Amino acid sequence: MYSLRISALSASRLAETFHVAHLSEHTIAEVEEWTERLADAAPPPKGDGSPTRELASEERAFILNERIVTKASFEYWASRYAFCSVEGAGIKRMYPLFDSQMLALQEFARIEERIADNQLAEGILVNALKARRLGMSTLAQAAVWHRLTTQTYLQAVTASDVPAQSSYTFGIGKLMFEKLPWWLKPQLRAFSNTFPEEYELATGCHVWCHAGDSKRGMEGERGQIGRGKGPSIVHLTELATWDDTGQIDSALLPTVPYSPRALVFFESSPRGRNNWWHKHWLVSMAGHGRFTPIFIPWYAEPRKYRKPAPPDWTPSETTLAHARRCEEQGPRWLHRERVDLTREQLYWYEGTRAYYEAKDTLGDFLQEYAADPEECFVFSGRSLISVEVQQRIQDGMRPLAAAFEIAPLMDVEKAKVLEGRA
Amino acid sequence: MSQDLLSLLPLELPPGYGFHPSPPRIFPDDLYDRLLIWELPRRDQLYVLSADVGDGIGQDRSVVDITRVGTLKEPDEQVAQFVSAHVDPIGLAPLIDAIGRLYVGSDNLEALCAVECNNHGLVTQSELQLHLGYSNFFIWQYLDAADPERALSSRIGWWTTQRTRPLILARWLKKVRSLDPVTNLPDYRINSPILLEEIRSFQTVGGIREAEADPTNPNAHDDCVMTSAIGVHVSSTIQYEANEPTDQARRRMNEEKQRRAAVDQNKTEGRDYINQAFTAEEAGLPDPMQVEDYDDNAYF
Repeated sequence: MYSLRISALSASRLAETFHVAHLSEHTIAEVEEWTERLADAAPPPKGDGSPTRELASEERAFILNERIVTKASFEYWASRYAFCSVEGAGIKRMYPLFDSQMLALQEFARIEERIADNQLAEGILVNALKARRLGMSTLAQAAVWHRLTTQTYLQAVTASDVPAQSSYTFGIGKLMFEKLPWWLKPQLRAFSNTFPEEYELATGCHVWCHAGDSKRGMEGERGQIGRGKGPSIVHLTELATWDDTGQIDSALLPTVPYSPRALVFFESSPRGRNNWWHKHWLVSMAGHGRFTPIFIPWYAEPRKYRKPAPPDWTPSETTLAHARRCEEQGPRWLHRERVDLTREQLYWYEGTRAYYEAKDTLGDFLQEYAADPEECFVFSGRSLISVEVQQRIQDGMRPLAAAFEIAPLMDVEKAKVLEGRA
Repeated sequence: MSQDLLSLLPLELPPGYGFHPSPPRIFPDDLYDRLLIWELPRRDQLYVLSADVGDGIGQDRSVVDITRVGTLKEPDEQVAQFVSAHVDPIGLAPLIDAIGRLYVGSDNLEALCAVECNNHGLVTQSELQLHLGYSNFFIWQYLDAADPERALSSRIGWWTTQRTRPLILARWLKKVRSLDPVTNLPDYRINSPILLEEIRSFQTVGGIREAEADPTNPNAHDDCVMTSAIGVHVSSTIQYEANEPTDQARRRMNEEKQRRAAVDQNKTEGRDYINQAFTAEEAGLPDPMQVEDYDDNAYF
């Protein structure tokens, strides 16, 4: 549903199953027109989901087409039907995606293709290490609610570090659900709209909202997120600031099924070293466990972090050193041959860095607006060497000129053998 | 760097010491158990080899650092490093021997070797001296000797104690933090990502005396920091044999250069003695007082 190849394959199989000769992809304008036309047939909230009037044959055909195509393609669903907040000022359709969101989606597609080619049987499990405000929570919630509304009998868990943040994140998905047209929105069987939020759909899907500092539950079982549930869809956010991360390893992850249908999206900005999120990231980087690491740096989204630079501005040495590091490390994470920061991006970087420096919080800036994952985790308590100096050391390092393994004793033995022969 | 390219390096590898080109493929895991080189040996330089010896059972690490001794032109620099948690104290000696003989200095001797002799280090050092014939060792000095000429002891090697630890850390910190305002280079240039990793978790609850690897993190080490500090200290000791510490002399020289450049710039900008605090002669103009018909001079 994320890869074009898999989406096309899935759509053709569904069309065959439901005897649809030809599937159409409608434009946003066409979808809007159909939504208006079908509005008067919306079923009553407490009914069985049947429309209030008889549908014409072309209306039934349109609905079936849309149900098949949205089920097969996340992109189609998200671009036509998913609404999200616009920086807290109104709502809009999710598409076009940020470049940063596209990066994550492309990783989903790559994993999905490996699953389809029998190279992987575990589902899509990703760790997204990211800068702030790059739309990762919105994308993750869209992925969660796309599955919940197009598939049956799924269990999902969404959680952030504290209840207020969890409710906010859950609200992103709830908005998408509420704005769906009636023919794509399953009936609600039961729900709770106060923390911990919980939605049960008529399709058998169930979604729970939890928090990383949850004190709910029986003595000895408090904060055991996911225990006894077996969720195949999980979205956890702000993981670097969770109070109780033990429950993730001990209670949640063992319940996530080893199934191609599993979708687990862990995301967080970095917040210090040697915490659970740092260790979890390092483990996935080393290729252990089930997760694929995705790094979404600040420069992945050129439209967001930029500022027009005055013509007479020249970047400082520090800014240029950061740009060089982005050029070196960026291609690996952005999956491009070249990564070049624009003048506007550099001007934004220099100005914002100066602002943080003036407030003596440079460590916060460096970890959130890093060139690569290593740089994200530079800040650690009271180091004897300040963050500025650490950064300077890193910027001034020479590249490796050579590397040798040394086995002197082995050669001495060889020499002895040769001497003996002589 | 590929194997082919490595073989093209302008590098005279001492024969019989088992140097095998082996570029790391996975960062940072592959950085261990390899000699990492950031600058190839230069015959007109002096080198210090400092070593912290671990037990070789996967706990604390053995570290060997090569520090290029600073000159008037360049600061001290970490040019090579070897880190391993699996080499035992005796097994480390031939490795140090090989590395020390690779970095032969302008004095035609092996790199000046300062092995930390606390715990296992003494074994390594005696193996180097008695078995492998290494000859250039750091001679322990009494820094509080009233007569500097009698500061040299009859012992070799480095001993980290409650008295010497703050000394070498203070010197190391100063050099790491200092920045030459003209060249923008620190007084000690670090190249190893393993050392930088240790620096990030090298913390203190009070002063330098209490500085240590983050006690809450079982993976934090300070072996590279201490090895680097010994290297910088020994390098400084060599430099202090001159009348003026090299880093201060280098800074003075750079400031002098900058001052000269500023004067040259003033000359080319057409300033004269009237609006500047220098004489007509320095401004390259004829002195009006020396002009014979000064009555006609517009300045008077």
